[in-house]
Amino acid sequence: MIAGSASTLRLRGMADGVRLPRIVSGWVDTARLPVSSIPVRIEILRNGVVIGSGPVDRDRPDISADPARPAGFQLTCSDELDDSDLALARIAVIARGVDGATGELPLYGRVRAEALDRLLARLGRPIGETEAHLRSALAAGDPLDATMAGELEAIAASAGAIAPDRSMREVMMAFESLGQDCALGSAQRHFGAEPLGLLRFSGIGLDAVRTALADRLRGVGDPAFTRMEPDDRGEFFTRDIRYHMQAHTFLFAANEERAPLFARQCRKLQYLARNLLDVLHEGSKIMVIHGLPDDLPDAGLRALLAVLRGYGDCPLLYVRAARPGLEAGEVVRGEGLFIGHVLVEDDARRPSSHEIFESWGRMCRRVHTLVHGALPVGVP
Amino acid sequence: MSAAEEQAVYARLAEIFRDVFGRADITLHPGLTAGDVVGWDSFRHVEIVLALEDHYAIRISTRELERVFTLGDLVALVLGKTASP
Repeated sequence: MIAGSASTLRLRGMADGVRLPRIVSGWVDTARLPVSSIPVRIEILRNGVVIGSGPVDRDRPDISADPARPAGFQLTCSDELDDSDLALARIAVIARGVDGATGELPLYGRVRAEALDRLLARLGRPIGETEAHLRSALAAGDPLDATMAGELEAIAASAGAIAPDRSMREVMMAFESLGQDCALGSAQRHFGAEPLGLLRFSGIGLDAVRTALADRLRGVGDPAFTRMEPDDRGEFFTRDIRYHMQAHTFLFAANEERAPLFARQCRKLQYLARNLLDVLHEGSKIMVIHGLPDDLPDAGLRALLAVLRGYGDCPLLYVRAARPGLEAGEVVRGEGLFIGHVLVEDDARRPSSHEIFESWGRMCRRVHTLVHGALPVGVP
Repeated sequence: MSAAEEQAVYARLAEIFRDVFGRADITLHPGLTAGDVVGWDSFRHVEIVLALEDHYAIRISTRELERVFTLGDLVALVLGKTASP
């Protein structure tokens, strides 16, 4: 958690690129920031010591198309970093606005996962090995490289930490969003999982998604029912005029020709709609709907469940805010669905993005276990 | 599958990559990943898949794509779907 800022605004972004041994790059969502927060600076800390700092001054057209609001950064650290720094999350990347707004930028899950893989490969240990295996190996006196044993012990000792490994990625890949917003998609990204899904980065309400699914998504991606407009920062969004389904394209008006982009986007929507129908028929994913921060009405959930049962037996996970007696990560069974609990930004504890994502990870692991039994190899 | 069939898929992919990324300087090889090519995001990924579906008259599902990590994996997937019985 970041403390002591004059502004209560929390900066958002991600450190999504690391080129060892010194370069760290990423982005801050400057497109929606008040002018009073810009310029934004980045600090990189290892074990609490600043080893790099610099401005957010690079183009990231996928985040902001406005040249007055650059979103990217690339810093060279004064000290060398290595894979254990990344795998153990020993570095913290902090964004600070000129008005005191702050935010801790999570390290992209795939960067951590790949660092752990390389770490394990150097030890000649299986890819996908995680803290539980490492803990038992250490307990059994498994001879490890002397210099690495301490690092692995630190992984084992990181109580409650979720190993940034391929197996956690597999767990997160097992879930498919039914819209609302990008909450699940962002949590999946935190763990390096990037499934393709029609509603992964879409905004659609509970009633609308129920109607769309009851209609078998008929006509989704049909140019007659699809509109594409840029938002106030220039990113194109598609909108289905019947279901009021809005979706990110992550493409910007400044960089793309509209007509061919629209045609391609419609085809993409058709492809993803076709695949969502297949997933529902096969029951091959755990479908996710959330009521965050406010609970969804029981009647609406029951109606959605009835529509899903018209396809098959796909499990449904309803995600809501943790509450007294039902802590973040806990899962209970409801009528025909699972009810999971996560931290939310509005929580009185003011959780960081990292803590919120980790609570999604704990919840998803539990639901995965309930649905599929044993977890993939390597997941405690 | 023969080496010639594999080469043919790579040749087709070279054309697709030129169309999708607007560049002819991307060297295709089995170990190539999305992280190696600027702009290879999920949007472009779907475009590549749709072009393959159209050309080979096959269907590639999003579940199958979850096991595709490299260009070599994608080529193997296509060859598996186009192989003669």
